[in-house]
Amino acid sequence: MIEVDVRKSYGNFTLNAKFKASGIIGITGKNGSGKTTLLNIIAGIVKPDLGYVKVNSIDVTNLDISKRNIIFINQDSYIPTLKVMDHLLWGFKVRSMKVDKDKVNEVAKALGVPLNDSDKKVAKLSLGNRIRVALATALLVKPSVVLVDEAFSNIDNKEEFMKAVFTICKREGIDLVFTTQDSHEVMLGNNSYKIEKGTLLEL
Amino acid sequence: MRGISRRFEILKVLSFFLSLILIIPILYILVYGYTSFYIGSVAFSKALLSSIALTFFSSTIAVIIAIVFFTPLAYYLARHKNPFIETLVDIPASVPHPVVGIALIFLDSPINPLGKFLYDHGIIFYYTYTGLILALFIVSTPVYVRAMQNYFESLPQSYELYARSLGASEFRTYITVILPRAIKGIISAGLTAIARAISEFGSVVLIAPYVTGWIFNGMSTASVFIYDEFLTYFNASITASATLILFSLLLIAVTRIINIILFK
Repeated sequence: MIEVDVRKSYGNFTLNAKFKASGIIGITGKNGSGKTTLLNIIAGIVKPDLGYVKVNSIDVTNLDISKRNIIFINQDSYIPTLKVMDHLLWGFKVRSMKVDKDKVNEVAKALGVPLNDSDKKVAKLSLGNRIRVALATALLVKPSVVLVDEAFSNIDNKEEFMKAVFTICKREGIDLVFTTQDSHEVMLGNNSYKIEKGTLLEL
Repeated sequence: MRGISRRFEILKVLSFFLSLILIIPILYILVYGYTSFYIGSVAFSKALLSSIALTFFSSTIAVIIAIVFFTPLAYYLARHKNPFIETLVDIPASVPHPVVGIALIFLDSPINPLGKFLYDHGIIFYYTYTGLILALFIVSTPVYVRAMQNYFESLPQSYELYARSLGASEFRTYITVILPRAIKGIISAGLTAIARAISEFGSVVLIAPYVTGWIFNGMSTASVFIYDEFLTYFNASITASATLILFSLLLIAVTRIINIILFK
């Protein structure tokens, strides 16, 4: 469950966002409407001027990005120096978690991670495959929330991929917030919102 | 449009002549040093070449120390604005450099407690490699830190934010994500800092006008060597300066070529 009530101003632009939701949460809006700012605030990359972010009733507003259990993904979110398999296991390593190899294979297959290129550096993969690896790495460590900032739009067979991600999230109890400019795509979530000129509206 | 491009042409020509003004004295000494003022016994004398070797050696060691210990600081400053630490880093570059030399002599003097401790433990700066490298390290590190800070600021943060949100500590992110991507910046900033260290005179002439022991026993750095030549025989200092300029130009050329290869 994510609970957000925040305000952030940059010059003439002000973002006002208030919502309480769980499951798959879609947010749409035009370029510059404040989608990325909202995700940055939830992730802990940007501090809100006012308000709070709560995850499963715990206030994380003042927690460091690494302590929130919220993973942020955009199209450049990956570790360029790691090979595909090392990347998939890196989340377990940094969190000192036991590696579940069956789960790694299952999630990687479900998301279409190119396992036959497991010795290749992630930076050498196509943009779509890099996002597949980054998302698989994130889902494997079972965070509370995964934030996907317009990254789905760079994947082939987008809807099929999104459904695979949503299925894993629902099974593992991970809340997922994704942003998109596509007003059809946003309806794939079980909670849909629109940001207009910095104000979040429920669809 | 034609008017604008013409104005740019004028600006280009003006920029060329302005930069030429900067290097006229250096070009002058290079030309005269190898023509009418040429002294064969000085131009590539063993003493001059050894002093150039000592200069490159000590400057490289000083900058390697800066790279090892101060790259994390440059990264920290790039990601967390901290005017206080930035000011601390800038101080050695802002004070007259003889002050650095005097400070090192005083620091190592038995008349104060720290100096006595260092002296009693055999750590001596005066006329030693330690003192020379320490002086070069102090004056070139601010140049290195600032150059690396600019480089880190130019890197997109997506990779490290992803790593941090996965739960990685700042240190682990620095080792796994940042350092492997910073090699180009380290080489480029390191060469710039070496160029700065090579030109140092003010602090070196006080703390280590010559070094004692090991392979450069009794040698001075190139800047001090040229100053000695100037004091003893002016004409010889012109030829020696020309040779030093040749080596400096070589370093600039190598730096440029490496930068072109790394950042193309």
